[in-house]
Amino acid sequence: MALSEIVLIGLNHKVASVEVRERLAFSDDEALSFLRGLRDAGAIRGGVLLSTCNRVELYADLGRSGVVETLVNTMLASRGLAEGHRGLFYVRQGRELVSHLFGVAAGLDSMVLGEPQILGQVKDSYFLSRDGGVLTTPLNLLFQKAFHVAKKVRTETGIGERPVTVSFAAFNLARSIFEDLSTKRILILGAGEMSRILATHFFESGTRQVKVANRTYERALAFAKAFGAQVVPWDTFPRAMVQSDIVISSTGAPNCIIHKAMMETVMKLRRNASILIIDIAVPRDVEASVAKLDGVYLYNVDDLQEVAEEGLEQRKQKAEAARQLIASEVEFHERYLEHQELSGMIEGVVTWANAIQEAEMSEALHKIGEITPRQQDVLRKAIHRVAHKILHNPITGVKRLVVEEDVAQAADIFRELFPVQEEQRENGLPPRSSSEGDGQ
Amino acid sequence: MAANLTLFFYVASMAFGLLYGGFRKRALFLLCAFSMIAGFAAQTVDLAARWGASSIIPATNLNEICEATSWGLVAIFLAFGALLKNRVFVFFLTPLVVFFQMAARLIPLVAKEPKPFYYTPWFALHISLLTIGIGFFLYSFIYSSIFIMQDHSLRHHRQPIALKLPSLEESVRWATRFLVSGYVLYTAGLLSSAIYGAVHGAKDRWHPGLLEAASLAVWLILGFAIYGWATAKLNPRKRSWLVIAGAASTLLIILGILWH
Repeated sequence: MALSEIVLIGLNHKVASVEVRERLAFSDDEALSFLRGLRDAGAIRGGVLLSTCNRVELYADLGRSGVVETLVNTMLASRGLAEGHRGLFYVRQGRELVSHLFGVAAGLDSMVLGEPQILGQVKDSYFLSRDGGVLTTPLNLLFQKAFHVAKKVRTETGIGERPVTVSFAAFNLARSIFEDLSTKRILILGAGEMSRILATHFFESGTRQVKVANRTYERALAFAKAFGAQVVPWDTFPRAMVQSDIVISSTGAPNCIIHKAMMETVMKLRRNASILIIDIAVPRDVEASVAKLDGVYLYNVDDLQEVAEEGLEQRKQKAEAARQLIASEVEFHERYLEHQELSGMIEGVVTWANAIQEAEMSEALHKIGEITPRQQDVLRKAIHRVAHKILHNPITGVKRLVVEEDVAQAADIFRELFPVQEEQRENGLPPRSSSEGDGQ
Repeated sequence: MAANLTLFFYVASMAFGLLYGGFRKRALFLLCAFSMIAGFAAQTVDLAARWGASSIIPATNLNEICEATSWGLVAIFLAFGALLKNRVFVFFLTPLVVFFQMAARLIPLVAKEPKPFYYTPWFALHISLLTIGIGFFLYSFIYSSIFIMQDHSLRHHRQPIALKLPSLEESVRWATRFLVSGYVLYTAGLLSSAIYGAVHGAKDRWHPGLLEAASLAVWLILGFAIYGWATAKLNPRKRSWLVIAGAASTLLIILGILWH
């Protein structure tokens, strides 16, 4: 489980412009063939390539022979990037790498602090490598742990609770009013870019009953096509409001288009059912006094911006707690890997000791000649007990050191006590059989 | 012993419930729920023992009715709690349970001669229906209060409360369900005592007095809230205030019992 054999090479929105990032971006197919190419060339044992609009990062298991430089060169060459871009790449290893991945998965390294989409993207990259057969055990362990930590950060710090963008703020408000957004009806007034962004948020949450009204009918039609919406003639939009639960208004009208008197009639016809009006137009489309009506929840762009800024401020505070949590999880993960290594070492020594027993047993049986199965059993058990008793004290001593959290010292002592080569431990081959000596 | 245990567990449940409202940790909710279950078990044992000993359902005076109400509130939560998806409900419910427990202990006990009505199954039926009915009203009261808080925070653009409470629609839905269910039970409870009075004559127990007038006032107020809901003449905010007023009017019943 050597963590030191894993390396991260990448760049993100903090160090590279969008032009560079888009040139380096990989589609799923490209990522998989890139990883396979590196593996087949012997540069890596396996890897995960995370490619999003804000970052391209290669988490590579180099094994014992990989060279970082080769990877950077291959990445640059694969996307036709000039040598001058080499300086943009960061390289992380060991604790730094683990901490970075945990932070990325938890959204702490994202452009929008604490955003949740990145975890899904990290998972997609992981599954791509797993299904493509380029995921090694150390990478698997590392990514599984990253998913666990990201989830823990979200639940324990609540970093994603508050919205930090205007569209997310509007979406959250709608969820505070309505139980199931997928059954709600949305009316969009003005088919501009902001309406499109907001409508996308609602559409992604499952809302399918969308109506759009625009002064220019053709623009409304184009908008409606994108969302499968129904076009409402501009002069009938007040009637459409009666049957809508959420109204997003973003027209370029110089004066208010929704007045208090109009809303009073609408509310009567709606039988006082709640309505959320999001007015993101400047100048405003909705008269401020409309907010005084019962059942009307009116938010303009400043209100939403304020909510988003408050959310960002809170996220910054929570990010600090998240970083502390990640630091302790990194330490925990390191210790876990050290324990894993030590367990493997102990297991190897036991296997090695068993192999010696078997060899000595065969030698002894050969020399003794014919004995009964019971005698064989007694002899085998006696040899086993001797080996077990010899190994007992060193193993419990090492375990005690582990409990005392001195894993590194424990491993050193164990290596000194049993200078068994790794391959011999793994294969269970005795370093030098005493019986060979006897026989000479 | 069982009564003290009941209070202990309900107070613990309230502490965990309030902490849950602040920190939103699952463990706190579970501790709150387990304490509530333990308190409910202790209270049920206590009530059953007292009912068995005196042959009268222990709800003949204000202290006992307060205690029965706290039992009813927890019983409803145990029966329907899983349906109320929002765990934050315990933040509002547990203090109410403790309030009735404390009221049962602090109100001076006025010993009265048991009436023949108390020994009849009509009384058990009457009390059960009324207690559960009032329990439902109190649930409706909680959801209406949540609605008012949520509505206020949304109107004044205060995001923090809005995000942590159930949506307005959910609050209205549950407030309405509990109100209508409680109203049916409450009406049946009132009818049961009226039928007993009609059958046995006023001289045995029943005759319309202060208590009956108070009960009828509560019935009318909540009936008006339901009418407003059914005809959509009242908006959800006004209806929520009316439910809160209706729940507060149950205090009239308490006064009616005191001066009965």
